[in-house]
Amino acid sequence: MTTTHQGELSDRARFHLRFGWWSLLAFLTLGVVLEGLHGFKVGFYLDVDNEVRRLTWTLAHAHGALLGLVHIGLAATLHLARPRGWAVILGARALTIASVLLPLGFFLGGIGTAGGDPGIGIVFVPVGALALFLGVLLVSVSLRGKPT
Amino acid sequence: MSPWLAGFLAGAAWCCAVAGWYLFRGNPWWLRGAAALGLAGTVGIGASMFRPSPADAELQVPLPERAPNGGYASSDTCRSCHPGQHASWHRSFHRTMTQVATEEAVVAPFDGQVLSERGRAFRFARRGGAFYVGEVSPTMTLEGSVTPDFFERARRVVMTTGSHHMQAYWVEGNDGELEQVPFVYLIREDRWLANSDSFLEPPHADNDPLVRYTWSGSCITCHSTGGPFDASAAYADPTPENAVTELGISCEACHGPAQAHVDANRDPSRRYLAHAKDTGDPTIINPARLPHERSAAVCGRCHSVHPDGEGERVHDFRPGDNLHDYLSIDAMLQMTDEASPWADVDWLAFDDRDTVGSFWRDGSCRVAGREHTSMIRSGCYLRGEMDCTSCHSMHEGDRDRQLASEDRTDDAMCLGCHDAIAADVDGHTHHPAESAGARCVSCHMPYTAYGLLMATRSHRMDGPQATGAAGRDRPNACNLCHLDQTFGWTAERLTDWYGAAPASPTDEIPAGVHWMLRGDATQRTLAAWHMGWGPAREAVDVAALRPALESLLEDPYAAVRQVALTSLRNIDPSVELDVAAVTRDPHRQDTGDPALEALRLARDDTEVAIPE
Repeated sequence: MTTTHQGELSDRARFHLRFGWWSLLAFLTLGVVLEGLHGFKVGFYLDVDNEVRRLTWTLAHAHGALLGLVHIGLAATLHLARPRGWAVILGARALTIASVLLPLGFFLGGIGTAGGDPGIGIVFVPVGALALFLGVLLVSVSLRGKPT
Repeated sequence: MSPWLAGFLAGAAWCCAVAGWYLFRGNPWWLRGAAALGLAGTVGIGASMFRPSPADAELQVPLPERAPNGGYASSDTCRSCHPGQHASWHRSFHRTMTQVATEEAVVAPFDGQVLSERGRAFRFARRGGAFYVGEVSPTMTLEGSVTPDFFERARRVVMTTGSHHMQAYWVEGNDGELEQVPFVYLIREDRWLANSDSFLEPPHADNDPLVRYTWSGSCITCHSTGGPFDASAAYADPTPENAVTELGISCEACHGPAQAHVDANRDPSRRYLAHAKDTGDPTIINPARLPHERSAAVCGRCHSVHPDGEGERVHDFRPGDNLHDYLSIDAMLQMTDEASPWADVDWLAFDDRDTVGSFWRDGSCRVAGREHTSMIRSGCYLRGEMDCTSCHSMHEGDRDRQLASEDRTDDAMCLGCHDAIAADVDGHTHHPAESAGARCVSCHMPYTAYGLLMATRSHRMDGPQATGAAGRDRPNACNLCHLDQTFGWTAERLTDWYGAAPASPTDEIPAGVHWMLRGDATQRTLAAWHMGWGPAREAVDVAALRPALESLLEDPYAAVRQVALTSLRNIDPSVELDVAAVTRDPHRQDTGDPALEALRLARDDTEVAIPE
């Protein structure tokens, strides 16, 4: 990690800021696509048989967009609070992993649904959820004490 | 209100009162008291808004208790994992076969009308979302305003049966049993009808008492799901205490009790393994995966003739079982076979009259809704793999007839096996390719079953023969369309085209006229129905046969008169006869044709009672 001056973004903060904004762009685009599926009453998405697909893709959109905001918040945290140590490094990585796995798992869960069960891709979701939990925990832990 | 709920609400009100007292500390005591009372009162008002209204409680008391039991889980449980199947079932008429009499369920107008039958009069009225039937003075004929005291004397309609063609209504009887209101409502025709007039049965005398129908084991078996499990108890004591899982015909009627399936599939690894293997789940029955006899039996449990006295035995049938273990099907088929020595017996004198009365002389079933009994005599079933799901689908079918998608019900379905005919369809049918006569079902599944004031297709898939001249003879497919042709005309063509054995010579009157004037009550009804049937009207100059049809308005059977009037109106919408009057009394007709009058005198008056 390069040395930074006061008021200048660290590489890690910049990464999360970029990640957050690109996530927002990607998942807001997904939201527009989903609205389009609603608008054109596409049975592949709206039919009662595809209820699980509709639910999981909505969750993919929501989780992706919200986790994008979390990354922007994390970037701000890194810049303002400047936490140090292994906890914030691991926590930030866990959040990044969660931000990929959760929306990806939900999206893949909407493909290959069987009755009321999502597709097998849904297995990414519990892994992502665990990563999200760890990420939030570790970032919180890293903020204990005075900033350096 | 349950004690638990009452306790919870009292606690909530107490907490609100304390909170009001605390929040207004520092204010005068009366203001703090008002705040405490106000907040507590808010809880009370809220609770009263959610309390069931007295009318709804009145509705629930006489109904069979509804709760999952005996391994049944209820359709609500199925929905979370099978939303598509649940939705397709939910829009079906099977679901609405029996319903609580809510505003959504009741289709008849309860607008104060008075209906009379056999010297008794009944008024039908509603108050808000509640429906009432009350007996009134037989002299009351004017339909004036309904006074409030009527509702004090009348009985609340609590349950409905049917939602497709007709709807029957149930009230609580004096003995606590559910009893059927003596009038049904014809949905398509938008009119009321006395129960007895909806059946094809011999005319009753004006002073015959009204028949009392009660909700019994036979209703529970086929009109609800997951009924009481002691069938004999259900028959002996058909009271509301005999709980069912659900009113109406729901998922578990076809798939069997599902609680074990629900419990087993809480484990996601089991579910995903089952999805991957696609070999079915042994904890539930899927009729599509059963051998065709067992699959057909799932429907046959209700859609079959139950030999007399055996109706209650099917109560214990579960999907996947062998229906022959519950009903004497083989004995019944033997007794009603064309070659049976019993064929010519007047069965109305015997205990088995309902069984044998359900069949034509050739062993084909003539009662609508008993399709399984017909199908199991078909070559397609006996020598092939046909079952009900070959053409019907509960989940993909149209709502009206539950027919599956077109590729399973069009001629292609038959031609898939009958490849020799597929090679030369025109040469086989001898009808123009686009005409109704060229469809497989027109000749092999003619409308020779009767029920609910209409004809339905025979589900015995067989070839036409020039039959129908004698009483209890099944009308043949050819003449049901070509009503203006003789039996001899039909026999000649069947001999020329298919090498059928020449039929015995018959007199030279059109078969349609023969059935309408000389046939038995079932033949008369079916011929009358076909006079209004589109393909027959395209093939035949029905105007020439109209006098014979009009003469049926004088028929002793109310059902025959009604069907005849419906067809007459199809032919000529300007006919102004009042259907209620025609139903009530034979409508004198003078055809002015001595030949027709002579034929009418030769009518087959053997008593017919179609046991619907």
